[in-house]
Amino acid sequence: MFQFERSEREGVTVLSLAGNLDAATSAGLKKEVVTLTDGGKTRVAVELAKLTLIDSTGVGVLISLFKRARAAGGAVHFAGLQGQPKEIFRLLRLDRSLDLHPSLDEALAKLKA
Amino acid sequence: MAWLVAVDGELAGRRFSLDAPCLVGRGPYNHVVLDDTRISRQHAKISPEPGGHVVYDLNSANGTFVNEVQVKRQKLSPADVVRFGPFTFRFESAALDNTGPLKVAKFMEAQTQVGAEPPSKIIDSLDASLATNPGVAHDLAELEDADRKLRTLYAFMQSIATTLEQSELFERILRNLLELFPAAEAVAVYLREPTTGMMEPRKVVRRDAGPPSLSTLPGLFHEEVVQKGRAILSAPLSPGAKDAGGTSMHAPMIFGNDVQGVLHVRGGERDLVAFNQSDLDLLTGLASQAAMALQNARMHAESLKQQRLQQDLLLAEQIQKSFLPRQLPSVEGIEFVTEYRPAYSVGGDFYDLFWLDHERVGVFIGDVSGKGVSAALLMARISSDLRVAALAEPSPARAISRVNQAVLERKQHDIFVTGIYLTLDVKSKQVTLANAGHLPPFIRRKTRGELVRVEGGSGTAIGIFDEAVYEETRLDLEPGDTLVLCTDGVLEATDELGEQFGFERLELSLSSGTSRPTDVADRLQRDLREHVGDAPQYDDVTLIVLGVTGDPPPARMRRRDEPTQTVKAG
Repeated sequence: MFQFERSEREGVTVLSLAGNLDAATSAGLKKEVVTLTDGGKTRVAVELAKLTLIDSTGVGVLISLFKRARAAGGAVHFAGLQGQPKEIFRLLRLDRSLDLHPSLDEALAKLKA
Repeated sequence: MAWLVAVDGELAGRRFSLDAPCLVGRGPYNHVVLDDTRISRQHAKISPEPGGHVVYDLNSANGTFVNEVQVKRQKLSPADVVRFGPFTFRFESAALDNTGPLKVAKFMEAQTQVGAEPPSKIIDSLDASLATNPGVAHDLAELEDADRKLRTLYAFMQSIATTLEQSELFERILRNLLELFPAAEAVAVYLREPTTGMMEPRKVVRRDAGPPSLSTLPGLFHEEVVQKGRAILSAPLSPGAKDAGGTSMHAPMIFGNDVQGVLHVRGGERDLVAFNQSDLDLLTGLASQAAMALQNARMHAESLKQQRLQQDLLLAEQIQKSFLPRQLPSVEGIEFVTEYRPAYSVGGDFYDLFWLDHERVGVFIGDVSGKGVSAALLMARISSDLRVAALAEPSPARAISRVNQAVLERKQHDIFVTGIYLTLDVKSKQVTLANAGHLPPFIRRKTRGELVRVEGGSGTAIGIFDEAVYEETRLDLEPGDTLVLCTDGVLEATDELGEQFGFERLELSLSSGTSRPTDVADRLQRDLREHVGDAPQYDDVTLIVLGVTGDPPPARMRRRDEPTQTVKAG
């Protein structure tokens, strides 16, 4: 089971993910990533506090958001990473290069700055 | 009531109802089927009209005769003898008759006078009760009507069941409809568009060579036919005439519980009673046969698609296999064991072992995110990128940086690669290793009997950051030491309850038994199999085990595996 919500806060797009993001559930988010970045929404905060599980396809979708937004001059910050997804980010050494924040507010503060 | 009564041949005595338009011909869909080469496929038609019954010759090759005079169009009178080729019939009409049994008896008499067959034969062939009860004659006509419908449906099914190609199927359905409903001017098949749920016209055929278009369908069409799955006879020009018949018919094509499409038959604009309830019943039956044939065609198309997909996979599998090393380097004092088990016919995992020069062997293990053909093809590209980078750059960290740049240049945004690239000096048995976001390798030390997770030399996965920084670490392998590289398919191997193999089981497996590479690999595979049981394999599993053979020299007990170098990309 995977769900995501999209909202706008002061010029920043917030994507809130919940559940298991894997090969079977990631198609919808993948489309949303393309819609967002093609539509010029390239300052994005991704809230991961309710993300319970992620696989390599799921990571691929988040990476594609990051790469597309950056290629368009934007930025993506991640917030609330915990549990298995945090382990995966660490294993892939993504924790070294992505902007990770404990809370959504901190991610938003960086993106608005 | 009116009948066409056969007076000779095998059909002698058969009565065909003429209360609805009646087609005569060789084709199996005719109401009166005359199986003889002298009869045209569609030979003649007899229609009940306001002034009485009229026979039309439908441009038959051998003609239609009334009382032995060839006719194109002829009004019929009771007891007229109608001949199509070698078949002779008598026209009977009871339209003005309401005197009951007596009158019927009189018709029987008339038969004996006109018929070419001996009278006894004709009388014998009829049910005796017919002579005393005209109601039975009516029942018989209905039975014959039902029989005709069954034969028509059967012939229709035979005609359309032999094609599995959709546009050919529609063509055949519509051609059949035009033949079956002589009053039809245009026929069409509508199908439900999966994306919008709307009925869209797929094919329209007109009897004349006019443009293939149909007027907009009335709103009634959607409500009754599409939602309720009911066939309708409509008479928009004259609502009062609906009981007698209508100008067009719609019948739903139902498969399962869904209305998948609609067959539409439209009469001429001035023909207010082109079709009656009996025609509608027939169309309903035809539509359900058509739905079945459509379902078959769709299933066939789906299986063709599957076959093509299968061929793509086969090709990708062959490409992928061609990039995996066919032969492992043979190195004195080093034993290699590899295992490659894709979850599907093509996987995202790959590995490579190759000589860099006289003294060094390169070893790579990697995992492309995603699965299927695109992952396999990217994997093939990356393994050639890696060979190029490995030959140009003696440093594994620099080689990985090059591969990172090459992958980023392809701009495949949602794909990344994790991997370990190491070089092994075959003389000193020193390993230099760079890890790009991959599961850390393990060293099983014979001298200490312990298992070490190599956390050094690690950097970000390949294909994400331009500015990624890679490091490398050096390890000295001693005789009896075994290095294990694997992909995360090992960790994520899941049993039937959803429990992953995980680090603990992996480390337990690697640290038990002997440190010989074949033993380590066999044990790990056995433990994986036992854990997974009958659960399906979800992710690729790849394993490289390399060990230094021989006994450890007692003097060399010291080792180091700390990171020694940082290499900046770019």
